[in-house]
Amino acid sequence: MNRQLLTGNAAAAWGARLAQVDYVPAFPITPQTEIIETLARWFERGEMTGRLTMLESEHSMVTAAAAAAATGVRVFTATSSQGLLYAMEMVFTVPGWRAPFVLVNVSRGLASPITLESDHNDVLATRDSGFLQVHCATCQEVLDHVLLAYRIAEDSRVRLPVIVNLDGFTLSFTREPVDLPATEAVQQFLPPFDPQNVRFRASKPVSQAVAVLAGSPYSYFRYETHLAAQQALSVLDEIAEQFFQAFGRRTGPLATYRSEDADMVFVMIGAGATKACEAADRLREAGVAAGVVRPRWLRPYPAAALRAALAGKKAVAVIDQDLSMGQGGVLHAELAAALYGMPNAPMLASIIGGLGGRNIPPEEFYEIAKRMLGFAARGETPPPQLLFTERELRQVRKLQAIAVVERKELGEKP
Amino acid sequence: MVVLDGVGGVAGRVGIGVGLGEAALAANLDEAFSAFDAMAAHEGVVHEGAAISARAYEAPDWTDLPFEPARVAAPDIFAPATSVQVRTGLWRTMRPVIDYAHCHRCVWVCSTLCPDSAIHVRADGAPEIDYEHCKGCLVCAAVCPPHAIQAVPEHEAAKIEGGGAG
Repeated sequence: MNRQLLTGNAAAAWGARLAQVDYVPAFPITPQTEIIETLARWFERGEMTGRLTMLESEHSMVTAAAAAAATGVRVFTATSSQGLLYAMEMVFTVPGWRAPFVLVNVSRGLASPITLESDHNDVLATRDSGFLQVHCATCQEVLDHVLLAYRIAEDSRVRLPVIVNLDGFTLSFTREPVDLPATEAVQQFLPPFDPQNVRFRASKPVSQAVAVLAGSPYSYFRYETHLAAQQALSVLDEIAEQFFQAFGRRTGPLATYRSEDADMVFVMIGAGATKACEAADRLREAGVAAGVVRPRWLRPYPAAALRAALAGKKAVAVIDQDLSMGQGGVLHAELAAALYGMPNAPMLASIIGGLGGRNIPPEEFYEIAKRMLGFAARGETPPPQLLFTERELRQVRKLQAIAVVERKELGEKP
Repeated sequence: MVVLDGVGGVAGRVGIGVGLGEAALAANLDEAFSAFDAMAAHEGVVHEGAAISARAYEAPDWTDLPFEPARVAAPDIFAPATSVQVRTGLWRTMRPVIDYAHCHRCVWVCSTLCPDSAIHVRADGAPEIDYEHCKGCLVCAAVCPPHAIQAVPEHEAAKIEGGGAG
């Protein structure tokens, strides 16, 4: 086993290299650029065969990715944040082509105000597109899930594109030890793509993804895509088992940490959940039975696994690193829908935290656990809460004071 | 003690070494090196902090954000020309260079089409590129009617000038 210290971005690039991708349409954006820089270097040195093409935008990039996938080759691409949104028309269009490929998204908060650090509003904006999506918490998971994503995307029972998500900065630029599997082992687990009828050949014209001008055929095609996404759950279980046999690492729709006997559970996705795991250890030392449930796959949504993992808990706090304006936390709403009507459903609380890379220190996890157990004991559900301190508000007030001075300088009444 | 040679505390604003004189520069460098050496005793003493106990910890001073009208709660800067202070020229990998011998002074072409407004018109009617803000997109080179704007890789341009804008 070849163990190397890799950033999350390098792990993503290694995933593409080990998958022996044929084509990489690319466009740079922070914090993803290291992925395509790494791949470009390997292509240039001849360490990867195939082609990397710099497109003029992410919209063209996703179009090129899906168009290439529709010819039956293996395609990899990557983006982040505003780039993913710029591609959004095609992100919603191409899953219906049923041409599989893998897109790595390095999560970064969305404008406005524009920022560079991580939260999940970018990738969650693709939630209803037909792309499957998986969220990684470690650099090893990034590499593993690029390989898994190709297996699931290309499976004839699924055949949908997959987004592999990692958190910008906290994972993209953090080096961790990563086991690089041997090329032969990867080839065995992930043989060349068998495109079946997904092909475009010279002198053999095919019209893929044609228009339909009626609700009935439209409903048919849309719902078939939904059924394929749902089917991916059982396919995923099967492939996760094969992955374990090949590489010895367990994966699957949920990662659980000390949650089996927990009274209080944090639900988070991505690298932020590793902080929740650390907090759960400290809480256990202090006599609080805390645990963590981390959905890896959000599409397909592992509702049954979540119900099983959270049944009978006293309190569950969903910490959303995202915000649906006028509604609240996206993951909280989805989990509430999954748990609704379950006889032994836990008290379910919504926490908004970690927006735009805002740190969640251990004390906040401890306080959430303490308060949530208090609410649960009283049979109450607390209102949604933003993790935001007096000190942070003072910082904002300072910036606003500067804005007031600026207005005065312009002769405006503040 | 750091010597600033008559420019007060604004050395950072005027650029390192500008107007300071050799002696002051040497004295400042000595100060910087001795401050660096003074850190030697602490070499290698950076450790991961101890875990924070969940038994006794300082509770976060959470606050409920009040609603504030958009006039207050929009992320606006009211001071003018702040983007001038952001030196986007640092991003450039290719540098457009005007060959004034062939320039026709049809400045409305390059200066209008520059997406960063980084081409100004001098008093003598010739265009001038603001390398502090030119990102090197080379739109000007592409549209220049007499082909008088060359594209030079930034690392070569920097060698010629012994520094460059970056």
